[in-house]
Amino acid sequence: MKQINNILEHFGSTIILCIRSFYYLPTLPRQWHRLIEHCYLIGYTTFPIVAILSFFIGSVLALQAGYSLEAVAAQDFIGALVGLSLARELAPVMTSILVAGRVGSAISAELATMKVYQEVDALVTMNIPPERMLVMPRLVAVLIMMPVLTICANLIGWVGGAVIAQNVDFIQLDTRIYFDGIRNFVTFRDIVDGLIKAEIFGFCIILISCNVGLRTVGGPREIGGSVTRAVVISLILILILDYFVTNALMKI
Amino acid sequence: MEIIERASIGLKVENFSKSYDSVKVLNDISIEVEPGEIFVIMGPSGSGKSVLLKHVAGLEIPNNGRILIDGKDISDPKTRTQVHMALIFQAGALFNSMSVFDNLALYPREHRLYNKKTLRGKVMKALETLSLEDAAEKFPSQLSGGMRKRVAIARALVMEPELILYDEPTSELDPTMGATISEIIADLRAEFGVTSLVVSHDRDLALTIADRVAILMDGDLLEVDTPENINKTENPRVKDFLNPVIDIKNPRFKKKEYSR
Amino acid sequence: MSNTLNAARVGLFFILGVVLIWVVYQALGEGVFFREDGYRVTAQFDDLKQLKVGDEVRMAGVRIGSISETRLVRGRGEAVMTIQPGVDIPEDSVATISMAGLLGSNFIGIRVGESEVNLAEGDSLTTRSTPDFNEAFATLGDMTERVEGFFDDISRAIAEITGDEDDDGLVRNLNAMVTENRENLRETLENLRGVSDALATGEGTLGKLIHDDEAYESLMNIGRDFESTAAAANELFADLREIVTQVKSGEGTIGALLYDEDTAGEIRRIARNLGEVSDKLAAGEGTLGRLLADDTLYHDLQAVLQKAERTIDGLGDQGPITAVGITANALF
Repeated sequence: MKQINNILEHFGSTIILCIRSFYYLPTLPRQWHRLIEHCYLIGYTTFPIVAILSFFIGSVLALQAGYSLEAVAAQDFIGALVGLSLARELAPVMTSILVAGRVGSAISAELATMKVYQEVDALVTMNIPPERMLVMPRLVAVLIMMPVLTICANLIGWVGGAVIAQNVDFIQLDTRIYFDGIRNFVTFRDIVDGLIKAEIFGFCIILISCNVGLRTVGGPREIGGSVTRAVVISLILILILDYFVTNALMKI
Repeated sequence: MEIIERASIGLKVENFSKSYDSVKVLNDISIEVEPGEIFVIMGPSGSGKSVLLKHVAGLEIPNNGRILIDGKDISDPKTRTQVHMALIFQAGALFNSMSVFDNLALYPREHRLYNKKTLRGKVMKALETLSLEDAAEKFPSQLSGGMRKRVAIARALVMEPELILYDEPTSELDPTMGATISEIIADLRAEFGVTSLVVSHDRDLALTIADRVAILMDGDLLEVDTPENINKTENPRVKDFLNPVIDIKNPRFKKKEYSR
Repeated sequence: MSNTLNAARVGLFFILGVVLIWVVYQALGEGVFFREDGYRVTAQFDDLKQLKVGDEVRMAGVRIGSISETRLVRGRGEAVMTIQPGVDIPEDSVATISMAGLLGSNFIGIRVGESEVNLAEGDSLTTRSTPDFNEAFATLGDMTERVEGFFDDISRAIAEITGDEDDDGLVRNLNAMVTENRENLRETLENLRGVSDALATGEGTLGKLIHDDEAYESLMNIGRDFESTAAAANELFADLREIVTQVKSGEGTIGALLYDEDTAGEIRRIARNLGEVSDKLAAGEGTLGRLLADDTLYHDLQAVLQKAERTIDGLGDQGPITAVGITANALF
């Protein structure tokens, strides 16, 4: 019973945090420097790991597809398979997971530290709402940066797949055919669906990380707990939301 | 010096009670602080002083009673914009990600009070007041404990408060630094007429600079009086708290009534 | 941390993202950025099948352009192709719609003509519809009927011949005829044997077409072979009918024919061969019937047909047809 209460409380406070943050959206222009800073942290610094990971995801997809399709002499479809799986599913989900691990954890740690060392209280006594200064710029930044990261993940993953498809002995698929496969089977709609998913996941990750961070109570030990909680909740939510969002997007 | 231009304000705590879960922390407290007064709340650790201060600052909501600042209830969100109040935290609560200058400048920047040049002047003046000019570009982690407390006070000064709340301003400091902080508190009052509510268990601070002293023990308000009268009290608990005698033969921690 | 530098990085990064999204939008064929320049030629087909905008145009297997538009012109599908500048298409070239992969996209394959004159902007290409398996089997069925009819004739004739041993006139006449035409007859018989052998192995070729690597030749060619075989057979049948009529009418001397051991033996062997072939074809007829009735098998065979045809055009990959057969079964 207490657990259910806890979950509901978390859920409710997250929604309240979201509403409060967007109430302060008009203050965005004068928080420009914070927006830039968070964009830098969420987007720019996360890019290398996203690039590396998506390259190898594309590669391994091409490898697996090549291995399986070779049996039925349908290697021509490697491009289509890699392209579609990346665009619709893997690029947004893997980017979100990386953002959760890299950015979400950092945010919850920072906010938890601020809470534990009373910096958040100091903000309140200074009549500066924490939602305005700490949460809103991050939410806007993630909304700006997620599509950029995801489209990069898409393209890098495709290239990774192309490199493998061309160079692995038992596949040896011409890059031209590979990309023709992508062009024939992947529509821009698939890409957009992926970007929408990434936006939703990214937003949820940052919102949850902020909420968990700001709700930290106790000593320094709780900071670690908050980080773990934020990342775990984010990951679970990404995968659960993934199903429902995908389902909803297919019906539109 | 035109940092403070506002008239100081009074503070009133009425029948205030607070309990966490079922543990009573504060029990029916009523205090009235006059405008421009230095009011010191003393008490042993865990007596609920800091909790009281947090409620005065509006960080938490009381179970019972109310807190009025300048006649306005602090639990009303509007009060915060009408009353200029600064809380100086025990550990300073400086923003670790910002330099000292940015720490001080945050409040005016967020509330868009001054243009860039005026802002710089105001911040530097506050730093000068506490002889911190050299620390402007340093980060909180590079400062000593005493400096951090002074930065915290400087940050409060920039806010031009009518009421400053000090949470253990002299704790964890060496005696000289403690005395310096006490002098600063008294000086700020003398210079700007700001109302000060100090929570401390520093006897010297209380007895030298306070106008009135309140003794808080186990959630109950025992005495409110001038320092002279407090010093002459007949209440054994207060007496023991203010002038503890270290008795090795008969240690305090073995006595039943003092073990908490 | 320099704020200006970060702002520049974030700005560039964001612009990069926007540009990438735009590039992807264009590259996936929904924009105008990747539209090729070149001259446009059209080609009309009865059925454009699954041809769509953006599909390739290949000549001798080399990509030379793409489909830029498909439209309906007087009940026929018309594909507008944009051909890369510098690629000349002789005006008697023939366009066909082919399949790139088993499930892959279609493309227009152009069989190069020999004309000195090349197509210019706005010209129309000659087209040929890809052979239909239905047609091929209809021809085969026709031929089978005729062969059967002929065998009936010949067995009746042989029965007459063997039954009328005493008829000196006929035998003598036949003998005379055979003696006169010994060379011709021998040639004819050899031809007949060749045809019968071809037919006998032809049955196997059909099997090979589906099961044997080596035998996968163009079904186009097979179809053509069938047709020419049918024509040749027709001719032969006409010849033979003539002979049989002559035999029936009692011309020549059958005695000579019967005394000639070699010839008699050959005739028997041919008769036996033809009988076997006819049996096999008769049995085959049932199979064909099933093939034509069964939709799934029909689709399989159509895929095979297209694959085979692509091979003939020298455009396709060299994947063994066995694998295609398996794939077709697995995928449809």
